[in-house]
Amino acid sequence: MSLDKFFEEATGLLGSRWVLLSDWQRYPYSRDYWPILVYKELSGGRASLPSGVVLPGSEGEVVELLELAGRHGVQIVAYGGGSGVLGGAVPDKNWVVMDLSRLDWIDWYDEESGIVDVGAGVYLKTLEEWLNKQGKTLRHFPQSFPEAVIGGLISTRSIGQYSTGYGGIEDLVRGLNVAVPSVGLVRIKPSPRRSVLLPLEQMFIGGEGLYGVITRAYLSAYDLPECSEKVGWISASFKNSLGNARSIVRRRIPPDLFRVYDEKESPLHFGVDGSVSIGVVEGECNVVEAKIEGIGKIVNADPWEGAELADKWLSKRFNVISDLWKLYELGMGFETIEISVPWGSAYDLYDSSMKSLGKLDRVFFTGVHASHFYQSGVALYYTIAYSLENIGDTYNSIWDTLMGEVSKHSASISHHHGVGRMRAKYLEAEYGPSGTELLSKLKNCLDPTSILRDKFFGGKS
Amino acid sequence: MTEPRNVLNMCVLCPGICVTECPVYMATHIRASAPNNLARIALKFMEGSKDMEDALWLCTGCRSCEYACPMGNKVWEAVRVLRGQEYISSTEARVERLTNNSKPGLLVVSPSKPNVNIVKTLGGDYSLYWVDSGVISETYWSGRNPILNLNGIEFILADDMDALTPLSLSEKRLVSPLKILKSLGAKRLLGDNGYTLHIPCKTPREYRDDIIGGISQVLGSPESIVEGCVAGGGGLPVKHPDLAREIAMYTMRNTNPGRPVVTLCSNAKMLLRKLGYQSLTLLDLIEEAAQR
Repeated sequence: MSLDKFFEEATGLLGSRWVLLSDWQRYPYSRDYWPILVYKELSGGRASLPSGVVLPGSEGEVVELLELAGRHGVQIVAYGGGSGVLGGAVPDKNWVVMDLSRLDWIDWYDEESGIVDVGAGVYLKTLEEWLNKQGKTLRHFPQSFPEAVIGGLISTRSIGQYSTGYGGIEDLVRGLNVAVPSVGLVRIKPSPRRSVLLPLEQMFIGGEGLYGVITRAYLSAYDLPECSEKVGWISASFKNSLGNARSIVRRRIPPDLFRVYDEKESPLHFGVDGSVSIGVVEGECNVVEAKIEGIGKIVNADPWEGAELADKWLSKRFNVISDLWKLYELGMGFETIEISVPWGSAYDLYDSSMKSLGKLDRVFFTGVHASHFYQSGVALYYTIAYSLENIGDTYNSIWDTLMGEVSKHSASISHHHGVGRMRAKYLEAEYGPSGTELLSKLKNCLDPTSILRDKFFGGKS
Repeated sequence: MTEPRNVLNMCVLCPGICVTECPVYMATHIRASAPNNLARIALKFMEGSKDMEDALWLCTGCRSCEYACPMGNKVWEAVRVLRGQEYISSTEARVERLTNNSKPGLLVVSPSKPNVNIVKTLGGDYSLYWVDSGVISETYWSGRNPILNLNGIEFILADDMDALTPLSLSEKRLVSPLKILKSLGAKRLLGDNGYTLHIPCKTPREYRDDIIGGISQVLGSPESIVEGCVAGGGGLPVKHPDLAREIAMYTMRNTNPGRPVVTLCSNAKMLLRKLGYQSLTLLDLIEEAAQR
């Protein structure tokens, strides 16, 4: 490996302005938003810095940098918004970070078809604002909306708060350009749907930069809805709420944004006992009204009456810092873990996991809400507050406990945060040994010299 | 102000809700300038990593991050303190300092007379001499609207940046540069081809429309409006002049370069002039109109 040669040639390619080597330039890339590293930093610890950072200004430069890296035996990690919560973008000491923020174009590919052509480094917020000015929207609002970029969202198979109505990022991607180490730039043209062997664009959605670097995306935009109505209601228990939610989804009238809180989170967020459900129903006004009427019949309540509950949540939905800061001042840390589970075992998993997590030392609070719904199941989102004392042990025991429950109930280890470093050791619980081997072989085929790192397989991290 | 360490720690906990609001980061792609990262770096600087200092000069102090932050966290202020730059937070302290450092006789206006009487102007840093209030009061203003009570009359002292803050818009007894401009007929100075209006980043957003409306009434409607940081402040243009140009170009990217730019920020004016724009502040317009 020759890092010096790599940087020398990278400087020749990009110019010195876009090759960052000093400490203050590299420091921001020392971590993403993985809580274990955030708390380490707050306690005065220093994460290892990457050996350098390169910022390509074009797709061609991404390909050339991968070629350079292969020639000099350098490992590269692609960096988007840095909002991942599992360490997927955290570099090792000798790695080079490829920051894609200069790939920041936005333009229509085909305005009539509502397909927008965006660079991988475009901030989701910037894109949404651009679309809104033209009466369009992606309606993709993950918690990381203010800080996430398109390439990162696709790489981690992101989903947003309006998923029940508008789907996940995989439903928005119509085509992709990806720089693949063994192939070069793969251009997958946008299409409404295709049946042409493996749908290549889907191969890289959720690939976390292991198989290639996404450089460009063609995304579907929606028209802004005519009506957007908030609703809410309170049920006696989370079990009842989940049952109602299942009926609403099965009847195909769910709110586009739909969230159901358990008896622990409802008092915390809304100051009420029981289990709160909130939603936003969007579309043509008469359809919206009809849907809300249908929902009311299922939940046996007037959903319009709980609109202020939805309002309350919407007003601070991107503000995580207030709660985190309060907890931190009390010496507590915060973790969120999301999984998905078929309806048949959803409540059993919830009940069993709450009991298991409740037995852990130094865990003070566990609450759950469901925020993504499907015909066949639901995503459960755990919020866990724990003592920052012995954080490493506590953190690992939380994860091992919940992933153990997930495995026991045939649930999926991740719904939308991805694998990163933290979930690597649970990979076999999802795909089994043969599935994991297939992923590993795909990796070896597309990136034979492991330019894009190989730490995700076999729990090596 | 809040203890810098607490301010910076809060940002370490945050994924960066403000990053797309930071004009320095969005224009330059230098991730160290994004406020949450700048805070992390500033903490390391506080802990003794002096090699981190260059990053501290990436902040223009535009306050965009403060406005975007749900906690109203003032990274810009903490960074300013770490840079060793004095930030005077109380009106009294400002007035005391400014009085001690005032320069004589640059611009004289009378708040109680309808007609403006400009005695002389010298350019550069200027003092405002408010006369005809019984006592000639000499005060220099540096950016934050000190309010003085002179002989029972309250004055807001404003330069270009804050000339049109709510107080100066609403208080009829205060002399606003707009009143002066109107009386001098300054509209004619901008010609018939229109102008670009630059509203600086620090302008209180709730009064944006009033400010634009007030200026439009006096100078005519602008051809385009640019809001945000032109990188004039915080020492950035001195430490990172090339980046300052990048930021200014980014902020002005959708404007017509052939049009004069009327700005409320004298630092922005200077940077824009270096980039070839014909740029004027309200006080420049007053000066020019008075001399004609």
